[in-house]
Amino acid sequence: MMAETGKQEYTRLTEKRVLFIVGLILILIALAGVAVTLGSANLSVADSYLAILAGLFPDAVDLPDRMIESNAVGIVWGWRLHRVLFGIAAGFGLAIAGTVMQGVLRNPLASPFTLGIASAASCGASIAIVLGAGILSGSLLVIGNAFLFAMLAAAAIYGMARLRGMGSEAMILAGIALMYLFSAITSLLQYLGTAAKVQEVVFWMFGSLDKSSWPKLGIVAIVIVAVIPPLLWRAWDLNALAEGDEVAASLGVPVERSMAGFMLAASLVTAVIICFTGTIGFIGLVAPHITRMAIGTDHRTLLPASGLVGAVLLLGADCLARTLIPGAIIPVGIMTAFLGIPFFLYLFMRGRDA
Amino acid sequence: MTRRLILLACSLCLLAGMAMAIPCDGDGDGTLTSSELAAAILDSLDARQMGGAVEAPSPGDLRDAAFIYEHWDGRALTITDTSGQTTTLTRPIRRIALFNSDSLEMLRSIGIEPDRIVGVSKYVLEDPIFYPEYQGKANLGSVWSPDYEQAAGIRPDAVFLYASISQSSCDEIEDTLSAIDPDIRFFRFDSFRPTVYADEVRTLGLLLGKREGADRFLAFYGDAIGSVAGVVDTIPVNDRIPVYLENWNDYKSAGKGSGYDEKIELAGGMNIFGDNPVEYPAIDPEAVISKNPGVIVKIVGAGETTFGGYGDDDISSFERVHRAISDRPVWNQMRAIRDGRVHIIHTDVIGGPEYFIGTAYFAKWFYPDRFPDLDPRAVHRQYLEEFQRLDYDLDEHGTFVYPA
Amino acid sequence: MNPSVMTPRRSVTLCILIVLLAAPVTAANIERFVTSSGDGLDVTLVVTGIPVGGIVETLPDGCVWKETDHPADRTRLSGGKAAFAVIGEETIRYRVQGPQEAAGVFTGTWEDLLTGESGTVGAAGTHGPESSKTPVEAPGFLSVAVLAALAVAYRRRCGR
Repeated sequence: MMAETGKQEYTRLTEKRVLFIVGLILILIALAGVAVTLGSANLSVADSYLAILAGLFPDAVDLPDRMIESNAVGIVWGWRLHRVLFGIAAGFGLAIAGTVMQGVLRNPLASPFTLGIASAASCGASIAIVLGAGILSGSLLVIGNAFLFAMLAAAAIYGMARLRGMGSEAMILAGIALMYLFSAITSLLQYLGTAAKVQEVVFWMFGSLDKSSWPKLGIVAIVIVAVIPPLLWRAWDLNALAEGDEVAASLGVPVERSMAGFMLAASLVTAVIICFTGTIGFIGLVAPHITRMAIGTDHRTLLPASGLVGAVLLLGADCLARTLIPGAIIPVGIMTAFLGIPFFLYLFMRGRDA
Repeated sequence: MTRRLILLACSLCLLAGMAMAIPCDGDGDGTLTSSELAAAILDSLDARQMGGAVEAPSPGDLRDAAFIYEHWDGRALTITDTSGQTTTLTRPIRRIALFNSDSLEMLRSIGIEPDRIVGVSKYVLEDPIFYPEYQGKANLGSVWSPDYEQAAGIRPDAVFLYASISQSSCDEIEDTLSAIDPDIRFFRFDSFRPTVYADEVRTLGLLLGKREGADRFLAFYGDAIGSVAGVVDTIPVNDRIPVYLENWNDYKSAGKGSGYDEKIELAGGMNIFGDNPVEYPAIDPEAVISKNPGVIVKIVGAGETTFGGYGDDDISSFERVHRAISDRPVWNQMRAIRDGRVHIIHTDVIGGPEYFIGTAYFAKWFYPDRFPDLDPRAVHRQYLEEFQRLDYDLDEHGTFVYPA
Repeated sequence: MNPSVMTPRRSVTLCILIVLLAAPVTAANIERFVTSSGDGLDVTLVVTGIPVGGIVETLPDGCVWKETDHPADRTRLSGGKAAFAVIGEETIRYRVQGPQEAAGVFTGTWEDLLTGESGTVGAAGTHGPESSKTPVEAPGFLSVAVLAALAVAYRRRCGR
């Protein structure tokens, strides 16, 4: 009898999870469909879809003159489409990275921000913008530096944690120290820089999808495809780690190696995304929480679901950011920060750990 | 996606082939001679009005050919912008989008027709008093937060960006817009730096077929600059008056290599913080007292002092700032304050393309005896009336300097 | 040749023409002056403010083209019309054989290829020793014409 109810409950839970994921996918598709029609160019909804078709099958579609004159195909294919897809990929990657970090560190407030990775990327970008110094040159100057510094921070956290032993407290402390260090360097650079350069740094730190392009989307997609499936494959180890290091070790999980691997994967995904977009916050923090509240903490479903929630959040925030004030494009990082506030108030009111 | 890329590549090749040729260049030798142009004109008139069956150039091609013949000697134009980028053009530029409002002002000085401007930055649209004729143009946002859909939708031939500031943002705008519309040409001009100002005016005049307007403006500009430089060059370095310049925030000066430092030097002054490497260093008030400047200049118009300029007719805020400086504790012992040599000036006439007006004011304040006939206000008036073609009465409106 | 650069000699020529006909000078314009000569008519087109342009003159019925001082590769005749490519010229003279009554029947259109403007060639008037049918400007307006011409020439010399 007990086994029957247990099995029923488990089936129901699994159904709920599957429904949740399917629902998210549908929402995401609908949102993407809406996002592609948004923008300051005068394109109607039908025009936007027509432009997409015209880009795919140029000979089959007969474009009206007004669309040729306003370069509708160029705008949709050269600007909107890759931006929408980038928003989905970035939200997906940042959310999964956040989920992994929270699982490894057993701390629901862990995220690329609290671990100093985002601050390091900002510092790298500031060095590139203010001093003009970096590892790559030209239009890749800022991107290369941001990525390098983000990975340096991840390596530093790993190194420092190894010195003190691979505990989650060690990593969090190291992360916070790094965050302050890199923020201080960024502030110093802002003081030394000219007014125009400071403005550039500030805008970079807002975080935005404006800088996306097809090649950049390709790079992010490749990294996600390379990193996420192995993560999903090893999701059960995350479940074990969430119970505690000793429990995990007793279950046969190579604790230190797993932690290092997970952190490296999460840092890599985060770094490759924010080096292109600037620091977009709260997705890696909020998406795992929402998903956990909906479908529980089994990382085998938590990871992909959380990724989908992140994609919906980021794409939704971007849609809002582009349409809230007509004629102005608010950087999406500012919008996600605003969306994070009610969420945290809600958590605060609920007074319960996820 | 692949099919689209192939199509794009083919279009690019085709356009490249077409773009390289000068319109109506019958023998394709890269030079449009008068007889080739005449033949094109006659063919066009023949086909349109005389019932001829000749193959005539399109009206657009014919007009472009006329422009190239008249302004570019019948040849393709190769110009180098301030960032060192070289572009070769076989067609005139008819639709201009500018992210740099200083360049727009410079273009106005050489006589650009408002119809040729199709997109401007948001700062231009926020200033209807100074830019009345551009208020209906597309809003491109700013260099740091550009609106790509607007910029692409207006189908510009040319996009103007900054040359020496915000390079990574400008690079990004160029990359993104090129991906949307590969036909756009990009030009980078500063239009506010003294060292390249005259060259830029000349280059823009050539680029846009406004050489006469450019020459006329350069004569005026050269006169204004020369009348200051001629006297300043005769002042020995040791006799140069020390100047304390404060920017729009209290106790922030201008350091080495900042625009204001350069303009102080052009006017013959010596910036007491000119060896500070930071652009706007926070300075120690006691350091100012110990360096004992002969003149104090304060810039207003941004930061803590966002008043004044073309849109503001009330001089009282300038008076308040002036009084506040004179009342600073211990500072009232400084010779600059005792002698009444404290001046307030607005960014509109010392930053940007009007810097030469502000520099004239500086010269007059630094060395009133050496510049008895210099009248910066008259220079400003002529600039507004003759070159900016603005119906703006300096006597009634605008607050730029105090005391005058 | 740039018409907006006014050398003294050109301004004198212009003044004379203006005084003769008391017609106001506008930014871009072409005017036609017809005089009779022998058995035909001499037509002079005065081009103002159009560095590169095109003119199509329709010859009246009964007029036969004779010759022009305009370069041959800038002139084309077809179907009773004469097309001229203007590249820097300020006057174009052509001669037709035909009756004196045709003097007032010339029509023409012009285009400025730099500004895109177009218009009709203005017939400013005719002059002829035998002609009494076509009106001549009354001498009373001559002083006004002189003042207007001087004013215009002064403005042009000071630069626009």
